[in-house]
Amino acid sequence: MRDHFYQLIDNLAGELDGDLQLHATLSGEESDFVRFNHARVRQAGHVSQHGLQLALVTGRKHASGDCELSGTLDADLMAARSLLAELRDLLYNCPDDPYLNYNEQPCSSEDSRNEPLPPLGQVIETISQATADLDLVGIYAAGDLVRGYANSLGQKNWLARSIFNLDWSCHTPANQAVKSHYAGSRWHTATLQQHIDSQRQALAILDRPAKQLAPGRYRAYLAPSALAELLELLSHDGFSLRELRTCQSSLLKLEQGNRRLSPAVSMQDNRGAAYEPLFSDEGFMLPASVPLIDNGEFADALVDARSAREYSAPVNAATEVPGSLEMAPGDLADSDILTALDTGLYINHLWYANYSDSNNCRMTGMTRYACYWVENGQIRAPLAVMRFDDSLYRLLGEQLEAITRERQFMHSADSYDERSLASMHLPGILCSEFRLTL
Amino acid sequence: MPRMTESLTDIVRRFRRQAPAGCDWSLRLVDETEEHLLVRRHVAEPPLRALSRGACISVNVAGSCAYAASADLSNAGLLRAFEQARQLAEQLKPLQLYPRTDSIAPDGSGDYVSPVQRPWSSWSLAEKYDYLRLLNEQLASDAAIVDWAAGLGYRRAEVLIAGAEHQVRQQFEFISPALGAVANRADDTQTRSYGDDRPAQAGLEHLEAIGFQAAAERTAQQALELLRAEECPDRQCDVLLMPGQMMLQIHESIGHPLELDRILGDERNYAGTSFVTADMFGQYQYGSSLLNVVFEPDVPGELASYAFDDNGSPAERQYLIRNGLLLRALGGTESQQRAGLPGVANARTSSWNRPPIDRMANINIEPGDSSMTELIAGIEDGILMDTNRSWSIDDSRNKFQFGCEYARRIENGTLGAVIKNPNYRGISAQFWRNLKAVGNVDTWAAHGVHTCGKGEPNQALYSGHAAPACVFTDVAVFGGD
Repeated sequence: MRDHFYQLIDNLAGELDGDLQLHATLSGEESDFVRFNHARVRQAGHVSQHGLQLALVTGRKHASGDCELSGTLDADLMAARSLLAELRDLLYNCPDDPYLNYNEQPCSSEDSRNEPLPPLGQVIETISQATADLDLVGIYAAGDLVRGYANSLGQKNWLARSIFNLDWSCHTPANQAVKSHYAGSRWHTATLQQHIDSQRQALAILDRPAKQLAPGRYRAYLAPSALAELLELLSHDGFSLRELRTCQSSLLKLEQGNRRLSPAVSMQDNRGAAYEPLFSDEGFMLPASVPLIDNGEFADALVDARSAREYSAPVNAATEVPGSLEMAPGDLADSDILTALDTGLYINHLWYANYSDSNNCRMTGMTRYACYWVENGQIRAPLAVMRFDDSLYRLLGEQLEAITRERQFMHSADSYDERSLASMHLPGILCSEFRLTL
Repeated sequence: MPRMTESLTDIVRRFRRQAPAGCDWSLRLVDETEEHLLVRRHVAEPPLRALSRGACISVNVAGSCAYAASADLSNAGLLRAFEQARQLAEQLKPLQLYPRTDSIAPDGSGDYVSPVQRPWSSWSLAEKYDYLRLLNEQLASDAAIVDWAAGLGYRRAEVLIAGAEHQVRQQFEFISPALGAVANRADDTQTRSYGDDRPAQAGLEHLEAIGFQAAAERTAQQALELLRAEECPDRQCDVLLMPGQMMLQIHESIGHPLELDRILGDERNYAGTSFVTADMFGQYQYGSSLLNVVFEPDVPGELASYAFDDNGSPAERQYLIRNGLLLRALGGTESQQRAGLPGVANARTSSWNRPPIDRMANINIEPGDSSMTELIAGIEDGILMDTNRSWSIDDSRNKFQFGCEYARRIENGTLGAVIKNPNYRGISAQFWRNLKAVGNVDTWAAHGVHTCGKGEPNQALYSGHAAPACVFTDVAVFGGD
């Protein structure tokens, strides 16, 4: 698809009139999706899609549009030319844009990491056999993902990944559940088996009668996957320069120095160590990492091409949402978590987080999947689901007791419109207090 | 070589000529055009036009089904997708959850067209930008308004679902207006918006119908009012939910719990299950006797109106809850067979690249007989809330917490001061039983959700929710820190 994309854009660029510039991106996949319920196949399919986005620029005017590519050059040239004709009409009727910003210093790159994935039938058979006695629900998604950029100035950038992503949960008759996630480029059945063995151990605990808690404040350990739910919400607006300059970021008080997090908290958008491309849709090359929080203080905001022009800052992000969020580890060993927690909540997953009060970075959400009541360092019972409502300023500030030494790399299983390349690399956190409300 | 302008009907004809005989298949073709315009802080952002055209072919091999989706609509591309689906269905047959016993092809034919009076194309690009600039002028009414924007979205989707014999063809047009003002003082930021929750199947006439232009100045003023307002109190009291918040309340705590695929467990790894179980239909008192909820695919202009779902099943109005009693689930023909329960035609997809699953569509509450004056007069101690801004609910759709942009106190039957950061929480299974009063048709309005997320692989889809203003008793309300 890379050569096809480059050939397509070279053809289109050669047909441009006058001072027109063309900037193009490609986002595509060849994906198998197999959905499970009760450890059997609920729905299976294959999706082949390659979305082309063209931006036509002249002076301070630009218009952009998308169309789908079929993979056949003649048909795709016809589709792209048709889109370009529409963009030309829009272009000459749209006003100047003072924040237009495309890279005009060509810098090409290639980052292809394609490895053969195991045959689909073999993987599905393995999963089904290994979990035949379990009530498994989830999805296996696998295949090639590509992202490309090319422009009429000669710049060409390409990223290709072959990734599988198995995201599943196993349930008890009382609908207590444990969730796991196995993603990567090299499939190892032994690794899958380790996950399933761990789930079986959890299910033995989850079969116990659930503990119903009263609303109140509890000591709590938030595993990496629980912390991810909070930081995903934070990422929507927290680090965006546009949201900060318009006072809509939930981290505004941190950025202005009115609130602090624990000095143990540091975060960065570490694309260089993850899956996302190091080029933007406007052709800018991006730094491999951007420090977001340094030792509890706000560091850099994420700046996309448009904000860069609007707020006179250098471009450092494709979008102002971190796609490869990484949090620095602490010194609490995984083996010491239960002892350090002593009595309280061991929370493996949180779900459906949203703001209660974004001015104070206060979030609500639910416990979900393998959350436990712990007494004297021993897991006693699964929790009945509870609602939390607490501020991240407190959880990562005065209530933060420890951060784990071990971290978990979590590739997003999101597939809205297309499979995601986003990921997080996070430790767990131990908090002296976690507020439950319902 | 197919041309981009080849009609979907012609593509179906072409495919029928080459489809292997003796197979049970369905072909769903989708041709979409979108355009998005935004003026933010008086600056017009570049117009965005999106064209998408693709096919999803489903094949049923002796009860084992699979699909393949592709944008390659050539003869070779369609046959390749057919063969991928057929092979997958064959390969996974021993592992299928259950065998399909019916045909996956539509068993009837028909058409549907969205009602549009003033087409999107009747305004030039320059006129649309001028309109949005005017709204920007009205939004930027005070130095404390630190961000503002107005936008228009348009989407046209032609969907053709065909089998070897029958086909249904539906042509949708949607308009999505949105404006908003962000007010700030010191470290307090308040946002007020309008229109984003009022998309419709309509043309530009919808802007006038919802008073979009007139809303700009009011929206900015209300954002400023919120900066001066007191925090929402922390207490148990009545709440009067306006249709803009009823939309979310219906969506999360009636629509999703009644989706049959959740009840069947398909969504337990992602969107969740339901506190509703199959044995509750026909005997569970979901809400007070004032609660009447309908699946209503035939409301002209409502966001998720249609004549057929994405399996080609004809859609009909059905009571889901009548006089508070739970009657019917939201499940398409496939889920109905699995569960042995009646449902509705609501197997839907986000586009050509995803398979149909059970989705709520237009889930509406019938109006009652109380005027707005009577609703307010009946509240001794309460809070009026409008326009959703925060939503969270547990995976069985029971324990919820929702927040709104705007609220006003109600004391001794009188509407009082504006209050900010209004939130409330409750439990679905109890909340609807505390429905105390239902507004009449004058308080009723249609709203819609653009991006309801569900499914593996994920799908973001439209749903419509029309409702009157409603009063609920004994609700836990609270504000910000």
